[in-house]
Amino acid sequence: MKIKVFGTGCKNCKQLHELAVRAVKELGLAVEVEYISEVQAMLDLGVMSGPVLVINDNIASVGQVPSLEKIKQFIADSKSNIATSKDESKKNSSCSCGSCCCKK
Amino acid sequence: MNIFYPIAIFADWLTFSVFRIAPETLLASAVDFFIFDTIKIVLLLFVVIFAVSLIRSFLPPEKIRNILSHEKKYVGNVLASLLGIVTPFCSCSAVPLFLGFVQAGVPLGTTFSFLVASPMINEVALVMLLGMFGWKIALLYVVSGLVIAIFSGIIIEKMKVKNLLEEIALGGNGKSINLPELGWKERIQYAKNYTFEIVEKVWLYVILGVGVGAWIHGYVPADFLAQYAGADKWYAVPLSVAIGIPLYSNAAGVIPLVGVLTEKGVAIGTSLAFMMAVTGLSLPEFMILKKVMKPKLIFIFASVVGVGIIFTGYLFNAVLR
Repeated sequence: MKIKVFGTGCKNCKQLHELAVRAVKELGLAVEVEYISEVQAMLDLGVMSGPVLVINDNIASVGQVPSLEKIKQFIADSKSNIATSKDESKKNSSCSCGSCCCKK
Repeated sequence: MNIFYPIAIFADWLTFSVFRIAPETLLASAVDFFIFDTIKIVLLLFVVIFAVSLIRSFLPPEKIRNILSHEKKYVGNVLASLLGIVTPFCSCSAVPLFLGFVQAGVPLGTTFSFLVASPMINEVALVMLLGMFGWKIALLYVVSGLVIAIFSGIIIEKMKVKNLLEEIALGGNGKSINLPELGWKERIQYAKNYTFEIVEKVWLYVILGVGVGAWIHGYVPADFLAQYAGADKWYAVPLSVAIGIPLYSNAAGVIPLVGVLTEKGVAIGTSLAFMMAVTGLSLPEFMILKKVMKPKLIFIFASVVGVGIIFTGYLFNAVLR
């Protein structure tokens, strides 16, 4: 699993990074949360408003700091996506939150 | 008619009955003014920022870019200025917004219209204007801000300044995405978070601004400032614009002050020009924009907008006597 936080160095961006690190820790996962502060990297995702949370190359949230619980849910959803990734139809419908279905 | 009447009663009660300040004194007038205006503005901040953020959740910058990259000249400038109203703007979002627009093929003039309107017409300035000046002046501010943004963009487009962009602005994959739709629960949560974040950031400035304003309201004679900054003083408008440029971060504190200064004789056009300079022309923003454009373009941008603001100031000084 890959978790990345894109930001421009603003307060919210740092806050999201900290929360993501905490979420991973509390879920007991051995995943490193990468913080990318290069503006062009965020723009190349097609996003202009930081902070952005990306889990396994899927954009989970844009322009706001979700709560710790929500971040945990994003991670859990993403894990279940991997588990069922062979079943495409299930993958598409597993997003009840509405903000983690963004595919490239 | 006046929805703020209950607050006025409360302020009177607190001033005269609880603090026991003798009515008709300067102190009573200042304290009454302070209590009434602080409560009114904080309430307005909550209501207006919540409403604007809710609208904004339907128009994130990524969606605005999709709209603007398909628009032709002129229509694009008008739309960009209107959309700038609901978009939050801080010096840390200026660079990604500018690059995102330009790299996706939004015309430079349209991007500049957005760059002028977005900080100049923001919800905090709107609340302060509503609270201190009433809806007519607030509307005048919004309309003239829009006109300045539209024309600044058109003029900059005509100047063909693409060669004054830094290389970074010309690169990138220009990718745009459609963000997934949010549910109402998420929109309300977003608006709530954003409202508290902003109120937390500005409340102290509001109290300071209204506090000093209340003192001036009570102790400085009416029309005292007319001799220095009345409508007949030609230098007042450009001077107020020059003073306004470094004051960006204090927009919430500055507007209550301007409110009472107007009451003491500063001409309304001069006050409006000053507030537009505070919000629309900001030194930190210029510093940050140096990453994406050459200093010459920043100078052109500031001059075009500055001239627009000064013209607006003179116009209202002449018309609204």
